[in-house]
Amino acid sequence: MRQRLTRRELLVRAGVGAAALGAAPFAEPGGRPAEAQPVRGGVIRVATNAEPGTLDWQASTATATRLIAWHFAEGLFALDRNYEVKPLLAEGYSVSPDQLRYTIRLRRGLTFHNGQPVGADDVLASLERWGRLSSGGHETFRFIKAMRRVDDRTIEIELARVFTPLLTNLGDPKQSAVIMPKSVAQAAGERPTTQYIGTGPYMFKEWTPGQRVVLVRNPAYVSRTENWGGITGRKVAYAYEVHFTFVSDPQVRLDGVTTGQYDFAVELAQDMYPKVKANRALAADIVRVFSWPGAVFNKAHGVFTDQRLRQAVQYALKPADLMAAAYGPKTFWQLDPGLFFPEQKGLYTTAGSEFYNHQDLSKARALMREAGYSGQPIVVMCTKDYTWNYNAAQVLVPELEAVGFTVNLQVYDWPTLLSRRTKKELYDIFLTGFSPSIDPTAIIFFGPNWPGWYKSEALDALLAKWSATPITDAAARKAIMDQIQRTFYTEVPVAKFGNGFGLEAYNSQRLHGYTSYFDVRFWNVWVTR
Amino acid sequence: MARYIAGRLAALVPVLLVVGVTVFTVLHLIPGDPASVMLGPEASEAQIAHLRHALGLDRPLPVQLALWFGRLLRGDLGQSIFLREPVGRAIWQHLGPTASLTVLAEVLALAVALPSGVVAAWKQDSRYDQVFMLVVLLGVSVPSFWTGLNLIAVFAVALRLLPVAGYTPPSAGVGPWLASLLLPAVALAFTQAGLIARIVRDATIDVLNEDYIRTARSKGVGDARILARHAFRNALIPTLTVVGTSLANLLSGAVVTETVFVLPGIGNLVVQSISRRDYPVIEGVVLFVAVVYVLVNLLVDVLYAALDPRIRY
Repeated sequence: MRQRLTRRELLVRAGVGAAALGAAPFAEPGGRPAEAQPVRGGVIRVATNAEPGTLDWQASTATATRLIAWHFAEGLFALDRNYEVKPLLAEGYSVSPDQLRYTIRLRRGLTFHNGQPVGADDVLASLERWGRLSSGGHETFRFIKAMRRVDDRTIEIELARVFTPLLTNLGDPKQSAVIMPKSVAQAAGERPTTQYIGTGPYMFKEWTPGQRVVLVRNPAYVSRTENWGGITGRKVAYAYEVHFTFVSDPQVRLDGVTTGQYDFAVELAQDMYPKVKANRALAADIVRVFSWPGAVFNKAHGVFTDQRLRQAVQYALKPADLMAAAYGPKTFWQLDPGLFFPEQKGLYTTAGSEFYNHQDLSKARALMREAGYSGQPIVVMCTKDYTWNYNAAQVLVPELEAVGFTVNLQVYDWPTLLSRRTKKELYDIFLTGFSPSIDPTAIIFFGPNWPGWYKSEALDALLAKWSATPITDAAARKAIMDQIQRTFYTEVPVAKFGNGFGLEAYNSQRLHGYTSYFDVRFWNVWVTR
Repeated sequence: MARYIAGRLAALVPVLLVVGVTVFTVLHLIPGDPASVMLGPEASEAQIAHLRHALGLDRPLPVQLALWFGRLLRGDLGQSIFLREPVGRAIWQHLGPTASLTVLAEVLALAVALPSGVVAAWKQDSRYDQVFMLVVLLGVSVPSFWTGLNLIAVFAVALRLLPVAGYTPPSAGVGPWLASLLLPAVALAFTQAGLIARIVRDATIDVLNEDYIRTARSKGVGDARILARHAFRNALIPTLTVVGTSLANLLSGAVVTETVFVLPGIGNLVVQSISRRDYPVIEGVVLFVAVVYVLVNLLVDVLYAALDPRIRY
């Protein structure tokens, strides 16, 4: 017999507390207090650091894509302010007692930006495409036996075996399962689409290559009413338009927001913080759920196929030095062993911390002797395209050399590094940063096909156990999560340095209602001139 | 003359052929590919391979070269992978800001360099000449992005007279258009004026030492007339060479200045395209630059003949 949930039960299951429902509309925990009465109209002018390759959020994992796309594209589920998954286009769902059938119902009155109603067929076509294009979708579809239309606004997903991260993956913002018209999904096929038709509070208007993307208010937007924050809940497009202008130089972004040419400057250099603080017209937003940098080992070829040498590197590192080099002042980093960020309360754990931030050179040397390391040069790849990356390498190399590794540091531009890291015989370590994941099954370097090629029976067994554990069984999930993180620290697929924070700045005399999140959002935000 | 011009234009064909094949080969040999850039850093290998196939990037290099060359012979530079439009149109759209910036920067540079260079030559070794040489040295030594960032700090941030960055097309009004170009044009003109003024000074000094200048002086011709009619005109030939080079340089895209001031010109286009490995655009822009250089050099050679009757083709 299938278990049906009432709306209230659904909300409770999704983790929504009554307190959150009763909270004031624009006050988010940790954010600025509710501000004066919202004003409709005007243009929000945002200076972003990079032009996206595409605005097809199903197709790209890039931040530049996401922070524009999530204004016009929406999925069935999305993250709330606590990084937990809540319904967005979905009105609710029910799960059969054997947890193999999920029935998902769409909200009433939803329409795409082209005026067409959102129906079950659009959802099925979009999810099928997401399953083909994204790694999260690909992983999810390994568990999906069938998807079918129940009625105009209801679909059913039948699983081959229990997979509790299903809804989490459907709400993952990394390469999101956004819903597009069936015709668009089918016409785009495997290539990124250029028809940006979604359901969000803003609509795609134009993209002038090399200059900017313009979004315009969606007058027909059907908002949720809950104060969930994040990417779901109540969304109001107060501004008439949002302009995302591509300004690659951070100094120019800061100058632009200082003079009022832009209202918001995305991703400034951390050393600009004193300037932002000194300017009373500007507000600094320190993004704490941002990125954690680390050294990714090549586990398919070369010396680091031996786990003991990876552990040796872990003992050779002093994370505080690496983080200071990468992110500068202490305001912008913290030492933390978590695979997830402390703000991700449902997933965060400190398990395995006995291995993190415990530099022990003699232990490192002992492990190297035991593994028979005899001075073979190790290739470390980094890039100057991201200052933190190169700076961290400048500390990493002497730390590795101090325990006896022979290091060959190779510096590339980012596209070259992206290309070389896919070739097993070309390197031993590369440096990269990891944006927040929302489930252990979605951690990119846990995948055996991602550069670094991590294959672990122990981890696979734990992830399988995790996937079969009901979301409601918090204690069991916590125990598995601890084991997953401990395995991460004993097998060391990646040596984590710490958590790095981002810096954004906005003109607080013009822009109101903004709340901090892992990437910028401009619904529920208004401008006064 | 017509035959000379026709011959020079005909020489474009082998030039473009060599440039085209070289740039195609070199570009595809350097690592990196547009699929991994488009899909973001956390894309899986399978996704990247999928998109590479969809974009036709997994075909053998000679096949891709043959396809590209076949299109080129039909006058088709191909389709940009990221901009979702033909390369020819992308270059045309980005040419507006670059051409505007080039003209403005060159006019400013000439307006400063010609008179100051001639006066420096006339007052050789004076206090004025020493200050002139110092400023000129600064002009050619200081990178234009540094000048640009300082101009932003003073005129946009401190005085709020001009926008920090961005481009306003002339269709939005001549005032806003000029305002958006003034700071980058001044930043570029500072360097270009330094280059041109030094040549003007040196060439004028050379001419002023010629016998015919002494003869003119002995005949009682006034200083101003000697400078304007005899010295300056004869000093124009080497000046024209350096102006031609600077014009071709600027038209090919003032890469750093366009990036700092967020001007959507050719320089910005090529930087973006290289970082994304948008092969068709890079190839198209390099061919465009080759054409610009050939044409500007041809124009300079033709102008030589116009300025100096002794030069005949």
